[in-house]
Amino acid sequence: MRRVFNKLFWSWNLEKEEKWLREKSEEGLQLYKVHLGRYYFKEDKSIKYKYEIQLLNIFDIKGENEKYIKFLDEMGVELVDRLWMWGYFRKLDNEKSFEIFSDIDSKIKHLVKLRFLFLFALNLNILSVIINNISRNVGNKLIGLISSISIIIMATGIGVLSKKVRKFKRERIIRE
Amino acid sequence: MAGNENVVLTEAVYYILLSLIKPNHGYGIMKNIEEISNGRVKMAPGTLYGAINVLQEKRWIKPLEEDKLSRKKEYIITKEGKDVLLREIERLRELLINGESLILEG
Repeated sequence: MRRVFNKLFWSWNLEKEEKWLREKSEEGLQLYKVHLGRYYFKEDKSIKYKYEIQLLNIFDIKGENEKYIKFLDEMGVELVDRLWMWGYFRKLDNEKSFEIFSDIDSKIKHLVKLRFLFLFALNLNILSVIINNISRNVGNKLIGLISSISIIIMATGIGVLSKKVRKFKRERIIRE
Repeated sequence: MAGNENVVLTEAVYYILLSLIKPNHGYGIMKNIEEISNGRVKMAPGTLYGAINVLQEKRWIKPLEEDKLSRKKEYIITKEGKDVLLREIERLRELLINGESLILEG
């Protein structure tokens, strides 16, 4: 049997989304496809998975993402689906911990990449507010308003991610 | 120049280099590290991938010709890599000797 769930998560809090997917897996619902805000599951109570969501390379000129996905696959980490540059990875839950990164530097690098994406979107929205506010058209004013709300959301994301980066950097002083 | 570098290796890099004295692939490296450290050091796949790439750029390890039968890529330590590893073992020996003698004296 197949089930579909509509749910939205903030991209700066991937842990929450991963936890939800793991809980679904424990209930016997195994993810097989992801669309924006929509998750597709197949029913299978014989297995359990742990999930990790990762932002892959945004500008993948050298085909690095494919090499990376192949390497992870050799290590028993399977790519379930991709949502734009987001990779939904999973590993059989065999009571052992599952993390894609075990060192702090890689974790920081991933968070910084995520923050870059938010910064990029933030700048686009600032540009949109400026351009749309010049116009007297009601439609443009509305787009400007939506962009203003987006700026607040993006800034929140950047703030949360920066806090996480700072926490890891403090930890790096005493351990690898 | 790798030969003149006075580097302190991370535990992960130290164990990766040790795991590549004989040819090994990603999964083999991960298992070997867990085994020789009695399960203490667990290397996550993304971290290992990044480390393998950096070590190849530094020419401390190199990929072997891909075996058509095995779809897994294997790597081996280079002469430069071995030199770095030997210098690190010397450094660790110094840390141990100093630590033990000072504690015993104290």
